[in-house]
Amino acid sequence: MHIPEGLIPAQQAAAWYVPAVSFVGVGLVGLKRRLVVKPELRPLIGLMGAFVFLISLIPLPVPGLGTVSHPCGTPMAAILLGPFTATVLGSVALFLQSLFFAHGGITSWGANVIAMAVGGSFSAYGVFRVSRRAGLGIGVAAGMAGLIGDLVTYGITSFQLALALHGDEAVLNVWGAAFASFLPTQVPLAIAEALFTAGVVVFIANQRAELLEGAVVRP
Amino acid sequence: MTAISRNSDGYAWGDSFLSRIDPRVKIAGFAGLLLVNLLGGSYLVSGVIAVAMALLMIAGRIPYRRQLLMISFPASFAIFTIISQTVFMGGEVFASLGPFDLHLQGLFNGLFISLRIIAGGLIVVVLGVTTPINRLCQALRWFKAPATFIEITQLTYRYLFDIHGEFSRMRDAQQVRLGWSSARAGLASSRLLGGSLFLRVYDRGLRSSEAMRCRGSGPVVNGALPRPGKLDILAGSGAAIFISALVMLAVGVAA
Repeated sequence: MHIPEGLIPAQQAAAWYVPAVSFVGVGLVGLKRRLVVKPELRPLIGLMGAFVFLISLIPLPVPGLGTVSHPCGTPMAAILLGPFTATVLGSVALFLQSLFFAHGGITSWGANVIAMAVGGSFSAYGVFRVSRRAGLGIGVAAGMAGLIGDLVTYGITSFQLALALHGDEAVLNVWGAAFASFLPTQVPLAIAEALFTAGVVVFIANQRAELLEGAVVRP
Repeated sequence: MTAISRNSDGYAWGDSFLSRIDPRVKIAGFAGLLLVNLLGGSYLVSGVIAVAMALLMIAGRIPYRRQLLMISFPASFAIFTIISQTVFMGGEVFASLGPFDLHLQGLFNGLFISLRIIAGGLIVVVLGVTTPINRLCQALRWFKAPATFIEITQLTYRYLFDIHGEFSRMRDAQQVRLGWSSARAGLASSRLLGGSLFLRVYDRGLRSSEAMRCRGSGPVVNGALPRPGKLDILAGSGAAIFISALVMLAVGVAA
């Protein structure tokens, strides 16, 4: 769920742009350094961006509602590539999706980057690392990362919507109401994203374990 | 997945007057419109922008099915906005729905924000549909956007279509094997699809990298945009006059 063009007021749109540009900027600086040292990563990063874009278009059935939704993709990207690179790829995907599908927008790009690219990537990466250090298996850790990354993304989006649309109500009340209204679809979706992320990471670990060591993909 | 092909910049390469306008002029004009739409603060300003964009789409002969498809997402959000504002915004209560009071001022505010969403969505749609991605990236580079961001955007766009075919083939094969016949099967198929796609993407990336290094290829961003022509000056002047009129309209409405 991306916030569309025109929904959030100008001041808030500008305010969300500041941290978004900061995170993407740091990610770009790191990525630029990587590409200088390892230019062979260039097409790989581009392909990963396309991969994140496509993954976020895979329809997953939402049980009981007769509809489909899609994974965020950024939790898995953060596990495989690191949170800053995943943030950059998420921001590029959001930019292209706003142009191709009118999903999201240009003035709401900052808010969407904070929710999906930054929130989804960093929370998922943090959960994955902590879970691994706690001795959990790679599948469980990836699944928890997917679950938390998805819920954090929607928690932030709900907060952004509440901030923009709270009217005369307290922001926290509207936030709670907005998040609760998304729960019927979001909890199954978060579980689906957890299973999906765990499944993909375990598949990669079984097929090509060296990719998860960080030698090439996460230098 | 066909939506990607439908929404790619195939139309943008056509011989429409909208496609021929210099992307720098379009970016500057549409950025101005987006700002006026956000800051205008009235039904009138957003309404005029929405009508103008709709007329541009008709004049540019953008297929109406594409227009409807692309505007469907902002439209669905507009409905959500009307409902949330009617419930949460204060003012006169005109009806009750279970535990919720429905407020008249909220309804009007929701309608206003919805109009702003539709107008903003239409601006982005016109920009996206009529500008090839490479020219858009060249123009963004001219506006001093970070080179690495532009490069990743171009590479992502390029490889999006590179792996699109592979993705579709794998998914079609899964469908033939009833891989998406139930929620459980769909989840298993999506796991397999995601993992296989990642590995193929990785291998293809390495091969592409080797090929690029052999050719001595560097960063993708290259080539300068031509000098603006008569059409660009005309379009830029028209956009400046239109935006100025909208600003005056917004100030007039506010006063």
